Amino acid sequence: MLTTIGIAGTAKNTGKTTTLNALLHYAQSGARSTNDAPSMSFRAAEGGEKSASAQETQSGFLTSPARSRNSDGFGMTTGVTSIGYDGEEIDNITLLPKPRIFLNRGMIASTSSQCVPENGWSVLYKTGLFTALGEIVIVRCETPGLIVLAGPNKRSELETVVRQMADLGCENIFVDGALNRIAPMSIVDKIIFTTGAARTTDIATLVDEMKAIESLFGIGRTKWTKSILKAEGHCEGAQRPKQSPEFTRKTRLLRQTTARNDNDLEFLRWPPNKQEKPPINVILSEANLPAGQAGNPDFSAGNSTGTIIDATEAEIILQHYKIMCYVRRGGYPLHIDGLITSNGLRTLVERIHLLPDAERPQEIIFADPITMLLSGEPKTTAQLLSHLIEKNITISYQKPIQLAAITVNPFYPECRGTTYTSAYVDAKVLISRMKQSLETPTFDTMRNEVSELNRCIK
Amino acid sequence: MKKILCVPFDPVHDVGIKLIKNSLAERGHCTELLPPDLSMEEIVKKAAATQYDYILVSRTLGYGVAELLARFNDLLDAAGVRESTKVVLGGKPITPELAAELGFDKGFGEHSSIDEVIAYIEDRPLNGTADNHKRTKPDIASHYFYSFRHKRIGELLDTIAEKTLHWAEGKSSSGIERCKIQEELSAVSDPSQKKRLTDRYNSLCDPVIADANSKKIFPKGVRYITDDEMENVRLLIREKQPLRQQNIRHHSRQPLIFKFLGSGCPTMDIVHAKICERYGVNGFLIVNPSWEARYEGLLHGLLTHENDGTITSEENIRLMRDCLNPSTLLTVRAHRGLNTPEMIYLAAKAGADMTKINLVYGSLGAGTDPERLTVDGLYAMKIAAEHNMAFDIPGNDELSGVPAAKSLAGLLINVMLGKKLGAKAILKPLFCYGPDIVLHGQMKQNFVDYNAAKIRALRSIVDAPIWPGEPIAFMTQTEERVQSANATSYHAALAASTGVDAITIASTDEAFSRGPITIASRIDSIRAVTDAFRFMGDASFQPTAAADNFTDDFVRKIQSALETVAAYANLPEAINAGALGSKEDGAYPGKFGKGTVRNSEQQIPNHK
Repeated sequence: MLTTIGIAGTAKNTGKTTTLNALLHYAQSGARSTNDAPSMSFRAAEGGEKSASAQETQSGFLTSPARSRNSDGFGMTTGVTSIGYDGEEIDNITLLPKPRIFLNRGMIASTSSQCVPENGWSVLYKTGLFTALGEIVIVRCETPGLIVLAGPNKRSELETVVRQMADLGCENIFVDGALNRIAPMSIVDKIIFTTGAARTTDIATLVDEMKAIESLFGIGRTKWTKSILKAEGHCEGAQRPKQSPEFTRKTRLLRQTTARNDNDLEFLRWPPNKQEKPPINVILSEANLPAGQAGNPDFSAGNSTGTIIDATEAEIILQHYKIMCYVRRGGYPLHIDGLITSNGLRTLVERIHLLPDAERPQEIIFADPITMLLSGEPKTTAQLLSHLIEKNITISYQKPIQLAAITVNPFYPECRGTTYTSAYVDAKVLISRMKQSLETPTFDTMRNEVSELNRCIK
Repeated sequence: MKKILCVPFDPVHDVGIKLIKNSLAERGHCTELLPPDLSMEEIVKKAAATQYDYILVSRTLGYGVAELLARFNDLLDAAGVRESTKVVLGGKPITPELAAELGFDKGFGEHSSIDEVIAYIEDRPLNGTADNHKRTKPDIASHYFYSFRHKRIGELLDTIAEKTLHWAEGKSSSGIERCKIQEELSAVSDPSQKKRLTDRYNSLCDPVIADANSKKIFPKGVRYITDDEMENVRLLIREKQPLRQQNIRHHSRQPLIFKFLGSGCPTMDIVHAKICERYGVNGFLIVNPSWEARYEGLLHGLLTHENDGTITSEENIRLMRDCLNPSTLLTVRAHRGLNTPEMIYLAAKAGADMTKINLVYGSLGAGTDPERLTVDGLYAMKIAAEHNMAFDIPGNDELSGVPAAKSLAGLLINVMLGKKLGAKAILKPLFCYGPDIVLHGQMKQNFVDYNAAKIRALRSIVDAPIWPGEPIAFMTQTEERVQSANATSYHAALAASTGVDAITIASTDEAFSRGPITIASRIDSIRAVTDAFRFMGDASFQPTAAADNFTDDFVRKIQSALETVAAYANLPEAINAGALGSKEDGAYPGKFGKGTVRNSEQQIPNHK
């Protein structure tokens, strides 16, 4: 079973690659020998303390039976990629040293062709997709060594490349983030969020923000059932023959039809124990436009490449939702796929509050927690959603993602004139406050807690 | 036709994207420029509403801008725009690595041209005039006929050259012998023959050189380059693709730009050279350690030297040649010292393009004995001619205090000797504030007239290439880098204005570095000259009437000096007698190699 684990950060320098290295080191130690149980400090790429038990390694998520299944005998279980540019010696912006990425023999990486070292790596597959640094290639490590990762940096391409890596034998794929970028992470199964002093040195703000992020990931968790996964495979699989069901997602919202045929009924099971009615998607087209808006090029029908739901669009969606409910005689879940802005969400909340109880949607399904995070400040988004919950509206995601762990980094680059220097906030205070306030397992990036971190993403 | 949305993310620095928009529109693409005051969400909304092929974003980097751009990309991605639209980032500090990190499909930075952006959008390779990566190797001397326009001076030079060639007939030296051994060594493969020749070579060397070559006991500070150092250089050349090469010259009629290399360490020289190449330097002169001129014999092998000057062994020259762009010129100096013929032979063998010979300057300023250098130098000119290497003649005796006219007379003697031996000479008058000028005030009014007059005088005498040096602005630079860069750029502008073929420029810390000069200082002067050339374009300096007087004075004094030299039996005798720089001037005939010229069966080749 393929598991994709993303490592996303609230900002640059919050410890994404350090966290990745810790996970990779654990995987590599596991791959070498189950008796040589791994453990390491996040800080040191080449650690080697023996604190985790052999039992833990054998049952750990990184120890996969695929190693023995694979014909090449290298145990092609771990894959790694980055949505940015990671593993370089010196940071592109601060010019401070960065953690390097060291892979063991047999591990698989996807990176841009210009980043593949001349020796020690064999190219397994050329993807035909390009970054600013050339074609993305999937390579296997033949001689343990350092690599710079610059993999697919947009959601659809990450999804494709992850699928291809899985086809090449990867069972666990780590996706390293870049700066504060998170959009492509909406395709991962589990996520580790990194935060720290590089985001802000104000500990209270950091804790508040992380709490809000945690709450956004936590939405609808209890309603996350197998039925939705089953339904998703059914919806779009035909258009992407190379994608296996667990990686297919429903298409982007709003161009979805409002009329559904019987085959879609499977989808209607979700959420369970509710009336079996399909969620209502709204097409944003000229037909939906309020009077006077027709002809606005922003809404030219059939020509749009994407959807961003701002205040105007939120109003249209609700108007349409009301009509559909009336036509279909009953309350249906409202499906808001795609990106909704803070203004869009605020308008939605305000308008829904004004609606009589009978006309309110009982459920709203958003795309995924990552897209929700992109709405605006996590704290604002969480507050707005709480206003919906106040009205007994069930909130859930079409594609939930498990927030597996949080790592916290006391380091930050301090700007001094035109140069940066390394600085730290009080690590003890930072970590203890975080741990007190968060339910998700939280770790100090600088401390030796890798085996516990691994347990979280099993 | 592509549909392109241009987004000036930065309301102030939007000139670039406007230029690109106009160029794209001219090529028939459908372009749209957004106003600069939209919120990020508004821009994403706009981008999502229409099917654009490309979104071009321009933004300079600043505090928090990376995060801003990252969020912009995230919003586009989450809104579904990136599935069909490519998002491109442009701005001064943008590199491909940064573009990848920020999640853009492509990045264009300071060194990208508009043509590159258009080629990317049109999905075709960069072609035609836009591609200035490809350079051809220039030939400085090829367009000159070496005809003497000043009849009397031509006659005098002919007399001096004939007398000197006649005097040198039948004379040889250990320097010439070693050169011949090298020629033989390259022709034999039999180990015993090689051993015999090598032993013979070492017997003709000073003990310190012979010991180094035979017993590997090197002079202090000299050692082999390690395998690791070699590997690092190879990696550097192979893996670090230079950014788009810049041009220093605004147009091809402006002079070629040369720089010195001579840190002592060939690998450091290569790193410096590669950076200079990228900034548009056309060629380099290897400066060797001063002791190489004083000892009989040369060291062999890939050697580094923790002191001024890079050892000019065949292996070192070849390494440097191999690492330079094919179009970059390489000159190896051999103008003074006891190894002139051999050095030129090995330089030619290792692929150097040009060399440096000056029988007069090499014999003055505490250099080599005039007789020895004349005998060796004439043989060296023959070698240069055989290998089609032009040689430049630095007029640096002016720095010893020799008046400019005498120095120029010396250059002309070398030109005539070269002509008679089939070698092409390049005149190198100084653009300097030399001791004679300080004493006599020729530059009291300005630095233009006197320097311009040197070029005018030489042009009125002979049709030969001119390459002021060495470096230009000698004695006008101070320890302050901006002043130093300015001084170089003004002299470069004057050189361009006079239509010379090439110039040598120093780094801004060349005279004050107290060790190897720094890359930053090299770039200082290169950039200053680039700007000066851009500033000048086809315009030129207008020297005052004094320049005409200086020109006439130069020609008269050159003729007078040559009359004096022609009265002597041969060139060495004239030099020893101070005809081309006296003790009063500050010039002393060299003593190295004194008494080592001997008669031999070997004939110094006569003129063609």
